[in-house]
Amino acid sequence: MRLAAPAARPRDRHVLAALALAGVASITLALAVGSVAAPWPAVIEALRGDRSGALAAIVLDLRLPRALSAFAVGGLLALSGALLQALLRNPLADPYVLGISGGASVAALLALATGAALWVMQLASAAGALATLLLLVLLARRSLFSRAVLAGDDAASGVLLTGVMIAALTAALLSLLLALAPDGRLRSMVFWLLGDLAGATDKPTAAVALLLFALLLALATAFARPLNLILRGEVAAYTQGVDVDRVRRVLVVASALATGCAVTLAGAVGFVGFVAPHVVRTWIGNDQRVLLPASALFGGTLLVIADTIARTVVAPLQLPVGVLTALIGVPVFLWLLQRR
Amino acid sequence: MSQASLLACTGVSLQVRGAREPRVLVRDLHWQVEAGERWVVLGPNGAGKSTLLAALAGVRQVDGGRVLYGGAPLSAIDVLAQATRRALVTDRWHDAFSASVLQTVLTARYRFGANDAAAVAAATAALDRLDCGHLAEADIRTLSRGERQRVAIAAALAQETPVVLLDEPIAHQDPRHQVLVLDALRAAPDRTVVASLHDVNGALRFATHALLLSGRGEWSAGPAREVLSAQRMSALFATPFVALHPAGSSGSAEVLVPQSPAARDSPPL
Repeated sequence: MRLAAPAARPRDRHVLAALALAGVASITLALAVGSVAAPWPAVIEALRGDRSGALAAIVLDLRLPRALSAFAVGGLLALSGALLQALLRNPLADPYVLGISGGASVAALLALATGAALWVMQLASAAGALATLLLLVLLARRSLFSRAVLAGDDAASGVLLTGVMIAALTAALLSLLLALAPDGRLRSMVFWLLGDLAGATDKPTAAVALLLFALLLALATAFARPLNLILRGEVAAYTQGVDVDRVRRVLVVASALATGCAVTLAGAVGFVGFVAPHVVRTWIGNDQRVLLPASALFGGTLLVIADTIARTVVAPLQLPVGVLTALIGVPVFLWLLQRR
Repeated sequence: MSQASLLACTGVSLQVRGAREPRVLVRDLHWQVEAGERWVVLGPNGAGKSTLLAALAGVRQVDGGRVLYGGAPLSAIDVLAQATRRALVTDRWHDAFSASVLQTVLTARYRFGANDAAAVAAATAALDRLDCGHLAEADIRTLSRGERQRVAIAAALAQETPVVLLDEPIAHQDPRHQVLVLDALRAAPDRTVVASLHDVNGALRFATHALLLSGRGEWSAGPAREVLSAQRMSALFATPFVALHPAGSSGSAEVLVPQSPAARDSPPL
């Protein structure tokens, strides 16, 4: 059993350092593995900036940005899931529970169905995510901007119910789009829905993804202490000094933005956002100051590994990465659950 | 008007909302709590004791009037600063996730900031005072209701606020711990306590002052030995109370015992 106070901090730092190291290792592995295997010396040369080797272009221009994007996407999803599980005090929450990804997916599939270019599709997806977030805030405004001093538990369930309804609506719209889509485009649409990082292999995309990941992680971690209190009851948190309604507003939007970014970049990658916080929680407990960054690092690592497998096991074919995350994640999670 | 009481209500009204006709619980409450006093709030079920405590803590709005801390309206004090003025113990706990008892008490130190060197010592001392020292490493979800309630009281003490508000702090306690909790609250130095109780004799043991709520808007407040009389309790609870003086007790010590209501009032079996 751990104590929350200073006594436990060195161990927390070790956990975070180990997870960061695992992240770097997974990205390095992703550089070496693929339809064309790159030996370690070639990878190291390329990373040093030596572009003379034949493999340098593949390593630096394709695999590195893709691995970094995968890390950012996995991290954003895990962060979003961890935030929502805490905010809604519901262990079943995942990034898709509020319907943000559903809205993004509807817009993205509309773009795909009309055969739009990749950047149009990503733009549509981002717009869909934002529009859904606005819709959520509008519909749940009574819960989010309550006139009562403390909206209390009704606020969390109000946001959750509104989100679940939006998700149900977008799911219906997605089915409709798939049913009506021309056969030629159906495959790419289904693939995108299952999660696909092929659209995130250029450097600017990777840079933006990493930047958003870092910003949202910093924002969320800044609210980790008050979130710890909210987890133990909102009335108690309020009387102990936490402006509960304000923290909830900020973090609902932050987690929705994280999901929106991730879905825009890589489609609706399933399971990472749900399982990463749970796995990390079994290791280090529920102190949000450690759990939020640790979940993000673990989620990023998990998605890099899943994506590396997805593009190598049946190369040159690629599997949908969202299927891989569940295929790896479910057994790992069940094993942890059994062991407890 | 007294100048800047530690805690005061000026013209406070409280209603039960939601009903078609709002029910008035407390009407135009003018009340001052001075440093070092220990108030007990008494009244029948549904009289508004918890509602009043919630309003005093600021987690519920008043339906009229103002709650003042040191002369400043509570609604004008920001949430973090409120946590330096008062702590609240409710009897509802949300322990959805695993955490140790000590961790749970440490959350009450939030107002002291992230680098609070005294946190563990203060939390441990508070747990010891509530006879929960041995539970420090236990999982909060494994506690009995009585133990959980004492941990919540320990947290309120660890928050180190001048005012401590408690909603039925001995509701789940066995006789030994009823005495222990009330004594711990009485012995807490420089704490001013407002607690709702159902136990009239617990109130006699603990309180310096008493606030009676009828649940129909009326209230009365005063020193405990005046207000906590058999006559007043009989009227408040619509149940006859008799005062007994146990043999060997000193002059003022008495025990108030409720009797069966008069035959015409008793419900058919």
